Amino acid sequence: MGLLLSSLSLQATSLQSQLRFRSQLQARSDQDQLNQAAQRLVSEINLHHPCLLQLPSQDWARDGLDCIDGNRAAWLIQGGQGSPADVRTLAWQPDANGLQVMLLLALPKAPGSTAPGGTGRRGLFAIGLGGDPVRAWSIQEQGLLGAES
Amino acid sequence: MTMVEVALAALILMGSASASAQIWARSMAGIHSAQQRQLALNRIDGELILLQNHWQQLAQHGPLAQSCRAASEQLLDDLQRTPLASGVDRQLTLLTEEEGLLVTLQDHNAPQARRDQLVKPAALHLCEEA
Repeated sequence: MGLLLSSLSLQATSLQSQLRFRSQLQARSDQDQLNQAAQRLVSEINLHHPCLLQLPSQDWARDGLDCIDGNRAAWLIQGGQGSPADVRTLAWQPDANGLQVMLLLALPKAPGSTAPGGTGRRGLFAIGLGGDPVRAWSIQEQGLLGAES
Repeated sequence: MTMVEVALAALILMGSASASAQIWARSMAGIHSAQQRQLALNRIDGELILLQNHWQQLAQHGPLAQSCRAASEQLLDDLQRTPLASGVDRQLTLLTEEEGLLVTLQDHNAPQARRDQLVKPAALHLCEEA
């Protein structure tokens, strides 16, 4: 009886480890996707729309910016097919000194989906700015957050 | 208790002990392989952090090249010379549809433990034009 109980308890531990491993794999796959999206978005801004670097994303679509038009800015924020980041840009928020930006990206959310990218998870990044003219030169992952409720 | 009952009880006891021993052995093997997979995941995460730090250091010295294609090729050359932790495989793919390098890290013991890291030179200001 003792052997049976200890075996079953060990089996439960083993199953739990398997589930934990699977969820870690999913989290890393989401992290990789968000990282790739951050690289694509920052690359696009650095090369083609540098006037956005020190502007919060809610101002990107305003009239009068010399490096981008409103439609293109909306496309950058919304993500989706063909855009540099396949994910939504929830926030691009420069700090008061204009030397660092907090970038928040979100993966698409497919209800009940376990496929990569369907989890709606969000990734927070710190983007370092510098130089003259100003350009982004570092992207540091700050963490993986759950999906928006 | 008759002889038949004693024999039957002994059979049941032996059967359940054997089944329990099998479950125990399988579970122990499962726990051991979970530990190995976890170690593999940690090894790959460590490699990834080293890689990201390396790129940040490169970026502090300014652009590698004017063209992003040339900068991607330099990143590729640089990584081919960079040593890797034992047990980890690294696959480097120079992207053709966009300027960038895809680095895939995978562990020998747990191929599921895989990371795909994209680096675009323009995102780190390692180049100045597409």
